[in-house]
Amino acid sequence: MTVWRLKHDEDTGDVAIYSVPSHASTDDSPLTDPLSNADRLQFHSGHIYPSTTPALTQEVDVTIPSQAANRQFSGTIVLFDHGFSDACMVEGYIVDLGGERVDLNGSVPVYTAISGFATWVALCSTSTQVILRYWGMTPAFSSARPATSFTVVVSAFDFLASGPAPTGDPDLPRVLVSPTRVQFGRGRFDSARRYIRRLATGTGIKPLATGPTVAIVGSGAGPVVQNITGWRWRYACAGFVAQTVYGWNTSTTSGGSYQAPFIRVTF
Amino acid sequence: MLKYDPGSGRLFVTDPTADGSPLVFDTNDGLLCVAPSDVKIGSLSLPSRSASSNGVTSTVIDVNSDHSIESVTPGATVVRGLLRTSWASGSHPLDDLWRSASGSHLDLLYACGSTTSPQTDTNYRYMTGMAFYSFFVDDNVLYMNERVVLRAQDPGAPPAITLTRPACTVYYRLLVGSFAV
Repeated sequence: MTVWRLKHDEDTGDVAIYSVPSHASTDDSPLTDPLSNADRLQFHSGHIYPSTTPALTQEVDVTIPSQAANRQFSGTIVLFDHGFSDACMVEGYIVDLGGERVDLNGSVPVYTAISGFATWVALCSTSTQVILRYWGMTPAFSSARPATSFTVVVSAFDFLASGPAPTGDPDLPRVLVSPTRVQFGRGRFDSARRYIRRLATGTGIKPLATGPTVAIVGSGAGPVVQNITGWRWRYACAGFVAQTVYGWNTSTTSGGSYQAPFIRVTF
Repeated sequence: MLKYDPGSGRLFVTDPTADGSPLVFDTNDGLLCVAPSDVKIGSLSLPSRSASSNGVTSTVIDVNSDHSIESVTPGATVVRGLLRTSWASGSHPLDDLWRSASGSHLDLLYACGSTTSPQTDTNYRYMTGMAFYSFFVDDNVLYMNERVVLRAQDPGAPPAITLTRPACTVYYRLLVGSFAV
């Protein structure tokens, strides 16, 4: 059984939660040297834990309007006001798109024509609002693209476009344990807030990409464009795949076999 | 509420003020943890990219470059945070908007029509231009991958048509972290 210790360092003011070999152990090195003992550490007040709140996590139904053929388009869907002093880090996911839970990592193709024309969305933040920006192109050879509707769950985090990364509040105690609230490290951890958490079970409410989510294969060089297969793209993360399936010369093809690295998290 | 399970040794925290008293911290799990030295704030300047075609020959852009940014703490592989991009001229739909920094970020979409000599087809038929930026960590170094493909419209005959993705600056405010599990 792992023995966990919650302890503060009187000299530095640091607070940490870490494993020790036994209850009698005097090895407190994760508290005094966290970078060299990361494998034993669950919390250290010298580190940064980006967080959100239940109020800043909202579920919103969105609809991207239909688009006529042969055009470029873009638009903004306001999700909610975040209340911070500047634009903020945002995280979120689409609850169900094609039967999959889709993380809003980077740009996500939410509607794709077979020839690679797509509608892309990106989760963004202005200085006052969390928004979903969409943009794309529709091909000349198809009819209008239908409206696309889905539900997103989105959180605004306390890492902003200006100022330092989130730190504790020097006016808060090193450790606060009450029946309704727990704080460690002068508020760097606060039970009233929500943190990105990876479960030991490997499950979670959403995937989180840890690398590129799009790959492009093929070549655009050669004779006139309509005579070659051309470039093809592929978005693939945690079971959700969208890609080009027709080449420029109308040959059946694909965007390759790329799969983004990801883990599952909750918050 | 701080709780301890003596049977498993597990230490966990719930939020009794929220519906269902959700679990917020659990020593079985891991929080995204970022060392202060792994907060990366800066920008990258990328050159303009031009493709051209005169209907006889074409010069295409096919860039796949990993730009090294900085070293990170060993084990820190998860990149979160914000990025925004700004073109030196013109604009694109996400210009200057801060967005979630993970995954691949579309920065350019371009499509062209068929070669219909001597005219240029103005219908969008072929997706011939895309650009993406993606942050990732490899071997304890933070990189940004720049992926750009671009082919100009084939006009059917000279003179050439040139298409340019302007020089671009990518601004980033990143948290590069890890989980305890």
